[in-house]
Amino acid sequence: MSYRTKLLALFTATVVVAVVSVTWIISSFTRRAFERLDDQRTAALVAQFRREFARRGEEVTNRVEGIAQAEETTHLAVALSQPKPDYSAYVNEASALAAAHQLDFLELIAPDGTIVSCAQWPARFGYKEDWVPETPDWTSTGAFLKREELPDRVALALVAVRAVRIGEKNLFVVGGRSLDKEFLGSLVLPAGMRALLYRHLGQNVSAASLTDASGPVAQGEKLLPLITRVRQQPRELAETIRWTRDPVSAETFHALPLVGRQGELLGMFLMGSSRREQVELERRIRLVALAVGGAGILLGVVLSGWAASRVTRPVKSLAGAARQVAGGNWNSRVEISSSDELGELARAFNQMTQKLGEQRDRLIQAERVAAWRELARRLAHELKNPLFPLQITVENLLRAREQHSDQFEEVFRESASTLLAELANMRTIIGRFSDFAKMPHPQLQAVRINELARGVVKLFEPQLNAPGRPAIVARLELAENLEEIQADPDLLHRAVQNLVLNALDAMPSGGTLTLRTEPQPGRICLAVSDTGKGLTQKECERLFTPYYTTKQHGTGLGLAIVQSVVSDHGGKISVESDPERGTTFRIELPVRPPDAASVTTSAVKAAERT
Amino acid sequence: MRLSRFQFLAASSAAFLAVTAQAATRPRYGGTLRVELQAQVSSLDPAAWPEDAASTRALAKLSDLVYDRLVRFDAQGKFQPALAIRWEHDAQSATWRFYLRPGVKWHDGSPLIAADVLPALENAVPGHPFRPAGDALEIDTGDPQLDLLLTLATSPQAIIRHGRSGAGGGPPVGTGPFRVADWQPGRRLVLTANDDCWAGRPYLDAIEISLGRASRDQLIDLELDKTAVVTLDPAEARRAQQEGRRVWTSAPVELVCLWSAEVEDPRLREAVARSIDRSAIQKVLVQNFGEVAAGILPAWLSGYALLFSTEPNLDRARQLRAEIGLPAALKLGYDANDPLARQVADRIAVNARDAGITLQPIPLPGGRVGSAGAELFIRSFRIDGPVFAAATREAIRRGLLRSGTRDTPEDVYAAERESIDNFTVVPLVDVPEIVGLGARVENWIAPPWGAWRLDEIWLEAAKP
Repeated sequence: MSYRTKLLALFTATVVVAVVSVTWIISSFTRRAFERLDDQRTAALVAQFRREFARRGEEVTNRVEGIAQAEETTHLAVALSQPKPDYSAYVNEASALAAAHQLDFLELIAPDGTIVSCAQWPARFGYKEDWVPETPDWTSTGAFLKREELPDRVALALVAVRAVRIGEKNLFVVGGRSLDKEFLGSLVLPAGMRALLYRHLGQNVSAASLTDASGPVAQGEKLLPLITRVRQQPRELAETIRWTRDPVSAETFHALPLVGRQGELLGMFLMGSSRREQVELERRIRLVALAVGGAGILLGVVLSGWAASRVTRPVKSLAGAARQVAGGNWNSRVEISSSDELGELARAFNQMTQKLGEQRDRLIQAERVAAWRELARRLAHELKNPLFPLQITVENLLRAREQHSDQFEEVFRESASTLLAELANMRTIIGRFSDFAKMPHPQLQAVRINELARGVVKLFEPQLNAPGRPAIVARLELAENLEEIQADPDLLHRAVQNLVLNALDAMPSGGTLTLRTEPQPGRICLAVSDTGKGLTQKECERLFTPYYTTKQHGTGLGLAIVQSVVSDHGGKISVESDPERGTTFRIELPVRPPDAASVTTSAVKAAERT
Repeated sequence: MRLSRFQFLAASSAAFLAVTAQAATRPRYGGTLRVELQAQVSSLDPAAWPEDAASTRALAKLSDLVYDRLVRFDAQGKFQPALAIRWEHDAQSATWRFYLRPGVKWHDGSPLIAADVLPALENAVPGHPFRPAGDALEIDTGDPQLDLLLTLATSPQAIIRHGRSGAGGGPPVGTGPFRVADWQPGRRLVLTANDDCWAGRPYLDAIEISLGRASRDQLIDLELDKTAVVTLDPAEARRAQQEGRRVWTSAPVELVCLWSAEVEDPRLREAVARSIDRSAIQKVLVQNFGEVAAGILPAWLSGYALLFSTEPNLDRARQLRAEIGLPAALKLGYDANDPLARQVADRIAVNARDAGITLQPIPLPGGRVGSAGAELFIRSFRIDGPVFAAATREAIRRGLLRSGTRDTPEDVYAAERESIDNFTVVPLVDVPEIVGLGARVENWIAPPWGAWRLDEIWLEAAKP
């Protein structure tokens, strides 16, 4: 991930976290505020419901008392207090009284509990209401809720009972009003709230028993779980109902159980508070947050891009300069465009490359001096050996002419022979140095590596099996179907020949010489292994240095020549050695070497280095 | 059984004659009698059967004022000459000849001839029309027609002639004691005395009949002396009695029953029947008027009704309900225009609920059986005369007795037993016709089965 991407991600994350946090905090505060408001409104509505309920109860009580105290009721009570009264004459009395006193329900009940007249269900005359005479004195009892059976339904009624006493007998007046949508309509509801009434008058919970001020409640079945819970544990409970998938439709309901005279659950008062305003405000908050977040992210992108470009441009420039340094351009510099940390870094980089260049120059100079010293040392060493016989021979020759003139001729011939031999030796030494200095440019052509390897081994076969020398076994492990490569066969042959020669020298006590080829993607690998005593790590590091040798009479040019050839072909050479087990030289050559120019350049550079 | 019926008729007739003799001592001509009826009669054609029983009864009463029949019943239930002055038949009673009363005129003044009568009698014997034979009418059915006089004496066979414009062009014309002066269907009918009536001019000059008046309103009008004859429901009748007003009641002529034939499960029929407290219906809803019905025909007519049980048996009803098992919810239809039918239906629903059966009373226009998907119905069955055979025939026609029942008391009893024991018909209460009378009405001589004789009434002069 780039620095720019990281910066953008960090910036975006910061903006998002900040916006989300603020949104959440505001939403939480909003929700709590609405919940507090909802609680207050619910409490106010409950209080209003209780007041209206009490007012209705007083109203019903007063009307029932009015009927009980009316003169016609007294006459009726007197008539019914007679022995064997005829109830049939009064079967329609309750209907007229109920209409006159605006009561929905009215029953006139004889002392024994027999219904004399029933306004809400006239056909119930003659049936018993035993619970009424069980309480002889109803004077102090206010209105209460009662389950009232009607011909076609069961109603919830707010009723009061009063007795008209004639002698020892009571005529009971049981009157009431229906607790229905008309009652709900009398409640003053704040905006967004509504009041529902559930009449729990049957065995089962039914949505049909749910009504509001306008009639049956649509989708009332969604409230049944709340109603069921209140039915199971008669106490005030609340639940939020979502009428559609849209959260705006959500409504929080508080259910208040309504009980009868003996504590039985007869209904529930449900106050619904719409969550529309809250949800819409939360939506607006989220929308604003999204807009702010989006704008923040956009600004973040711009700012992070600008900041990243400010930061990464010098870094990229620095990285490019570093790559140039790695590629050998020690003069690479970066532009110092600021005075901050990045400018300081660029300045330090420039100082570093400058000092590295200076050090490299000094090192090259030192290496050149060292190389010349080594060359001089080797050359002196090589030339010193034939010079000493030359000096001895010349001294013998001079001594023979002065002391043994008779033998001078013979000594002269011998000495001349020796001098010629040593001079030839010196010419050979100088020729080798000259050859190394005059490495030719590769002449590329198709070469089969396996055939080249076989040719080299064949060349050394006489040495491998020379009598009086410990035997060396040559083993060829050549991969099949190797591609031809573009190479100079003579140079390559010479390089491999040098490696084999080194391997033979490394195995004075005999051993195994192995040549192995294997294909690699785009290149071919040739390995030459011996089973000699191996090399140390330090030896391995200096092995390709010109004029460095581990042999008693080596020039130190063999492996330098090999490295030069391999390099001129665009390949590379490496060495692996395990002391006491042997050494392996591995040459990797490209199937298609770099263009001729680069090869040439490489060759020229190699020549320059030498 | 015959003896019982005879005794009742003899007593009723004696009283009828006694009142008639006393009233006839001081007749007075003139005046307009105002009558109020609950029914909303929409046609004066006796052949146009109204949908509801109340309208049928009212139409019968109005028909008797405007139209005549060939023969009629007397107070003893015997056939008497009316427009036919005499009749004869062959030995097999297959060929009948009726001789028209001479000198009879239609209300428009035209003489009554045999050809005028034929259309009114077209359906008296289906497939066998009367034919004129001089001044007489003759019919030859090929089969014995023992009930032909009974047929001709009942209401649909009144002798009428439709207006010049046809059946819909105006009120039909008759030969009865009153002619139609003003007719507003369903609202008002004004009759004036027919001076040329063959039976003599009635005492009243006119009768104004208001239709569709509620029983309560009628009583108020009676109390305010706005009307002289009203038809009252039991509750108002009791109130009128308590106020000391004149209330005339007929014999219990109208059976109110529960029709359960469309309930397939006999256990359910029996459970409903056993749950009904008929005594409460009679005491409270009918205000002790009439009597608890045991049989389909009233006891005063059949004499054997006491053999049927009327006691409720709620335990048996609950047992049957438990055996049925499935939720029992039925619809109980009643005549929407009949307040008593609605009260009875409500009461039966209350009783049935005690047995665990839900009955939903539903009002039906005309209370026709089989309408609106109701399985049970409150039905009324009116006895129009003192003739056992006529009542039997009407019960068969209404489906209360199986068809083919002969009009012998034994056969009718067996048929009633079958209907009652199958609980397809549950007799509830026999209700009388109750009439409130104003103080000026004199010579109210209605026979016990409820037919009005307004042509015999006169009005006492108004006090200054």
